[in-house]
Amino acid sequence: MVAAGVVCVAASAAWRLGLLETWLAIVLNVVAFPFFLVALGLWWNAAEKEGDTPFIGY
Amino acid sequence: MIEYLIVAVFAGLLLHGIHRKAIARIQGRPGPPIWQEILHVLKFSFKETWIPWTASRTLFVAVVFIAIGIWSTALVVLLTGQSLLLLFGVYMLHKIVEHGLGLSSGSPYGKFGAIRSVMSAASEIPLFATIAAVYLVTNSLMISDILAWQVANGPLLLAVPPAAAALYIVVLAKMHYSPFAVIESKEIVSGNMTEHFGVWRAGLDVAFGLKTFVLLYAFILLFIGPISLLATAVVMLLLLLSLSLICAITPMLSPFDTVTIQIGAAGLIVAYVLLMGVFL
Repeated sequence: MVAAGVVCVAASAAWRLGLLETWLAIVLNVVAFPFFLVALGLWWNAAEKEGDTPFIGY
Repeated sequence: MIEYLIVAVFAGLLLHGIHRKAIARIQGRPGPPIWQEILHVLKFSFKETWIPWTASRTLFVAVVFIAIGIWSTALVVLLTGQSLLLLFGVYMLHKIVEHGLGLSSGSPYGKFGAIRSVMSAASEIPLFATIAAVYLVTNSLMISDILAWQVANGPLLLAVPPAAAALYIVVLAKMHYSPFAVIESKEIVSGNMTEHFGVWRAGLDVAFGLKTFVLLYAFILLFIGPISLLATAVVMLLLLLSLSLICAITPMLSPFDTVTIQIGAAGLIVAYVLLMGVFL
């Protein structure tokens, strides 16, 4: 997740500064962005060790 | 570049929220708050996530990455003024995503959604008519050239209104709760998305938020031309509300009626484009 996020930010920054070709910045962002999003979700999603508290009525 | 993607994701999810709110208000219901779809993505992100036993594991996961990737590509294609064909290539890939999404889970509801996504391929026909009409008028398929043409000659909406109508139908077909949205119809639970839950659903919601933003933005760029950021936001909102109105007052069509209506509309527009090709 961190690597994908760093790639997105670094590619965007380098493109803004003129250090990276537009097509390369696009490819890096388009490839890394989905990995960043899904990895972020998988990182903070609910733990599977314990079940939720069951519904016990009002 | 990443900043554009993040803004587009949030804007797209907000548009989905406004869509739901508008539909509810038209139908006399209070409806959810407009930021509900953003909350949904966060909620799904925090849910337990696994892959069903019946699923094709690789496809089940890959389709989420592909969905986000193709609509990110489409946004960049728009922003950089690349070819219209690339944009609609992405649209075709989305059809594969819809199909793969349903087939990958092994759920019968998902499979019904996947099969319906193939049947509703008729919704792509108006796209070709749009591309052809735009090319006949502007002599280019580069979005940057199309924008330049509109700066010189005025909005394409006035030059080729049936082509704009064709793209409008395409955008309508891809909206949630659309009369053409048979692939996620409630009689098949959530259709092709039924078994994608947790982080997978959050990823899909992000991709579909991007898709809505891209399709509305594409409509504005192709048929209204380059306008200010504020005007773009206002026109996007008005377009969305018009789509919400149709979705609110039109029942979900049966799959066969969907195909019939879309082919009928596409046929009229193709005839118009053929006439344009002959007489222009």
